[in-house]
Amino acid sequence: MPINTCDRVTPFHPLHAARRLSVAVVALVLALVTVAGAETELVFWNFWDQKFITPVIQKFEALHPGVKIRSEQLNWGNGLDKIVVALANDRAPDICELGSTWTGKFMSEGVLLDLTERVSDLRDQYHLWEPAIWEGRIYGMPWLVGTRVLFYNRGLFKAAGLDPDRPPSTWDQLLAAAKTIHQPEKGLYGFGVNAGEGHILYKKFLPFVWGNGGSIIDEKGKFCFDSPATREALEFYRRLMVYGLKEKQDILDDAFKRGRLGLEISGSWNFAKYPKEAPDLDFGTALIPAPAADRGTSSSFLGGEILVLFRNCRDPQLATEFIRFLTRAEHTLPITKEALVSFPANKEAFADEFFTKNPRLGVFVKQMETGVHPPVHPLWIELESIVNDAVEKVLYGGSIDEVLGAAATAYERVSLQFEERKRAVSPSAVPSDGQAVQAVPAAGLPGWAILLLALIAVGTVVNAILLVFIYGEVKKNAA
Amino acid sequence: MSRTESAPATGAPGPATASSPRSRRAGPVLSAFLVLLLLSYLYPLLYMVARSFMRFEPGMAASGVGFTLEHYRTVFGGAGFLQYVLNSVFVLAVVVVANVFTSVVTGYAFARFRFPGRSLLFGLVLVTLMVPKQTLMVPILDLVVRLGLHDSLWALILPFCVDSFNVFLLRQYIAALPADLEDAARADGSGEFGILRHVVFPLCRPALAVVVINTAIVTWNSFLFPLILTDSAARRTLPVGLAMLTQGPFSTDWGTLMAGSAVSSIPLILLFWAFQREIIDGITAGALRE
Amino acid sequence: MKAAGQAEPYRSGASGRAHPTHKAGYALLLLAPWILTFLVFWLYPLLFSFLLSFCDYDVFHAGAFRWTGLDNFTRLVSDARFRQAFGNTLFFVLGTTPVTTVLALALALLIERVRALQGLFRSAFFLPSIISMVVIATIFKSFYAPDGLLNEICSVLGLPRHAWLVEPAWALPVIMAMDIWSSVGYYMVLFLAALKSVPPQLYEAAEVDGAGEWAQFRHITLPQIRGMVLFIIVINTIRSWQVFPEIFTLTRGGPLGTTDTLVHRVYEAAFRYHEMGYASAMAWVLFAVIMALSLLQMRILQEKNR
Repeated sequence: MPINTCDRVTPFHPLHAARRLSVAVVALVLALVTVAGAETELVFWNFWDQKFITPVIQKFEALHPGVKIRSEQLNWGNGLDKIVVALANDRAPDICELGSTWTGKFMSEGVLLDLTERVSDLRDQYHLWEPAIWEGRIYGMPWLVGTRVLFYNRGLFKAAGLDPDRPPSTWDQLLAAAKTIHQPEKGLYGFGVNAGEGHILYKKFLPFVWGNGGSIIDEKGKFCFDSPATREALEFYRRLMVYGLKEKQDILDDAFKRGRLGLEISGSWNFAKYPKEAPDLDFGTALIPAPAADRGTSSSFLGGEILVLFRNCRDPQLATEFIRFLTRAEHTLPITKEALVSFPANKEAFADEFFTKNPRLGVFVKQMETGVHPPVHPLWIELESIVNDAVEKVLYGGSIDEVLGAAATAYERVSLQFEERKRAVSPSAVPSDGQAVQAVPAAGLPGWAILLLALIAVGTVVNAILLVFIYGEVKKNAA
Repeated sequence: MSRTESAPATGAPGPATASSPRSRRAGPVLSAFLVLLLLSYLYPLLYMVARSFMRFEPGMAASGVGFTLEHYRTVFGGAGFLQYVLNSVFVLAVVVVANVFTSVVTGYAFARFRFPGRSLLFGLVLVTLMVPKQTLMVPILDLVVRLGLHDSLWALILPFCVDSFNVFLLRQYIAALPADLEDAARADGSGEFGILRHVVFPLCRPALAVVVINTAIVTWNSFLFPLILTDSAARRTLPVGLAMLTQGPFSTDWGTLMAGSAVSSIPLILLFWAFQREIIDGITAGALRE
Repeated sequence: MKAAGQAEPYRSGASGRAHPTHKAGYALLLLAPWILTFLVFWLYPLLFSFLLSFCDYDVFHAGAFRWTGLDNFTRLVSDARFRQAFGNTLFFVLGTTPVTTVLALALALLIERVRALQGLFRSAFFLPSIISMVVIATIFKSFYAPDGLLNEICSVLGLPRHAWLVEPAWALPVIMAMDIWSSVGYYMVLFLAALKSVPPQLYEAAEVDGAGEWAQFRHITLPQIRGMVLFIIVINTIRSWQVFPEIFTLTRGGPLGTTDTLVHRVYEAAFRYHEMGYASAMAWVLFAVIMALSLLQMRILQEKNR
């Protein structure tokens, strides 16, 4: 990261000035707060019901007198929006939970604190380090990890004459099983094909590419989605789709619950629902099928939650201690046991009988070993939608050649734009580790702020006069 | 006094009533049609209420459902529920009262006065209605922080004390009113504020009822601004609190969402009941026209 | 200029003349609360967003602005997704606004004639407007599911079943149907308010002259409520152009971008791709379209009236 932030050669314009002022004001306030507050307070943004978080914080605060962690909940639908708006205003929290597919962008933009020295000793004890590492440095702690496996309805398997104890382990077997079960006229469907919603399909399709030896970005950082491996996977998916129900994830899960769907790729959240709402549903889980018995591997989407410290973190040492504390197995297991959406990243947790005594959950643990995290890349969000678009177009009958061609062109355009922006902004405009604050010249109030203050003052006076006037008139009329 | 006959009375100029100013009436066929329409129209909402009480009975995977209060327990038992409601009510009350005042005053000025730059100013009223708010989030948080309003309920109140929709509505409404009464009052020597207070304001009551209801709906259901402009649970409004409660990383808790929205729509329904007669009956038609 | 500002009193004979210019000071006094709120809270965000549309702005580095002139706008022209979203939104506006307005007026006229339980009717039809769009969308999501209500109705009527929100041909139309359902009641109440302000003597006089129902509607009702009609059409158009929560809840623009709308594009650009400058450019293009349309509507509807 370049440190020479003081000599930015960006021309002056009003937005800039407004922005610098904001940085200065925030810095000033922060300075005052740090001086004034004897007690250290750290703000922690996360997405979970506070009943999981508060007890851990209380324990931590008891161990660290004078420390206060303020936990604030974000909602899953718009949490990232809030983080981004806060970040743009230099008001990011000290500690934050980030989805593992977001970290590529955050790390490459240099807005996170480098934790390499503070957490590398834990490398062997946790899953999911990949999305916390950028250019060899560690920027976060894995907290929760989740994957997807193949769900199959044992009852429908039996009814269709398939062996429920031998779920499909290859593409051909998967196709055959889906074909045998699929009877749409009876309301029975073979395989659940995700469609109709953005940002999900790729999680269900990419495992077929990964298992077949393909990828999206190669070691040299080049876009390599258009490969024989991808083409095979797309062709297979297209054949599989014929024996499938094309719907959204929650509708597929629901169809599976009602015993209408033979096979689907889904996540552990179903364990929170199926046993309660459909106790008679006889289902099993299995690893996602490999291309063939002698070729390829079983692969799946791997994702999770990473705890990071933003650059403006007020006490990195303490914050690191907190996230190390929070990610311990005993503090993470309660979330898993109740919400069942993801598992602890801490490997110790898997010794718990919650996992060892439930074979269906055991499949998840096993799948995690071969699971693949999507590329940790500054342009992952763009890549994700390119991949998603491509698969979706094939689903709706697009030609594979055309679709992959369009994907390559789209990537070309996005990366060109990215390079151009990097050239225009770097090297000086990318501040690191709070240097930006010092780079702000001690300028006076910019014009608009003075104007604003003046207007508020004038406005108050005018309003006061107005009120007096009205009062007078009303009185006069009443008389 | 109101009429009782249901057949069209040909040309009998009876006393007009507020509830049915005309001699034309709906026959039984029309009424029956409306009732049918009403039922199909309400079905989705009945579904919402029903779903909020539904529990999926173990052992009946396909269709069996049972009755439960579990979702309501989740809503009411959620930490801070009462706080969210109080916050929402406070914001709602202040914003609504402020808008009643500001919409009349502003609408009156736009409808009745000629002054330089009027078109330009009215254009600005429309601008705030037309620009998607998503692009304003970054600067507005900046502004709110500088004004010292961040994480305070006033951040959800002050910017919304004058609403463009309401100003537009009142401008249209006042422009359509005959100016005779104002002129008469002026001729009687009333001051300008007296006219506003005693002539215009009462005439605007139906439109103001719309302002109350509209502002209440928008404010009560507002989500993006409360989400961005406040942080702590103590300042959270009901929609944001419910979003935290019902949204999961990969799914939505339907039952709780339905229970939550049923609960949160009750105040608005009451408010609508209270003000709807004002909208319709506020003007005793004819009385003010002559 | 004149079209936007001139508030023509529609009642011929009523002396709704605007006051002379020497009252300008008083008018500005009346406008003070609005002007203040606008200056303090909205001017800066609006200007910021406007200037941003000519910039490349890196959300991750608060200080990094880069003036790019018209780049964002030229990029819009070649952005296939934006063009598709524009087309979808236009389709949405053309498909919902007239239908909603006409249905709302028809419903208001019907309900006005009902004497028993009129309050119940009013409230019941208005109810959907009270519920937030996210909840309405969630309810309709279940109606549009494979085993949902709509498919059951189709089965009863002998029509083919569909995966409504997943088939590119159906996704947007069913969202439009939901939108019409949810907003008709709101505009109906506004129409009712306007209808109630029509002096009944006018109808009585017309009936004496032997005017039929249609003639009464055409020559008395419509001219009398023209102000409200204008308001409803303009507001409805503005809102339809900004359709977003239903898209965000139901489809996020899928399948194949057939339900992508302009504000959804703005949202994605701003919060998903973090391109605030580009998002602002889109927002202001949308603004220009809506503003132009509103001015046009006001001009047409007001001129007709003279």
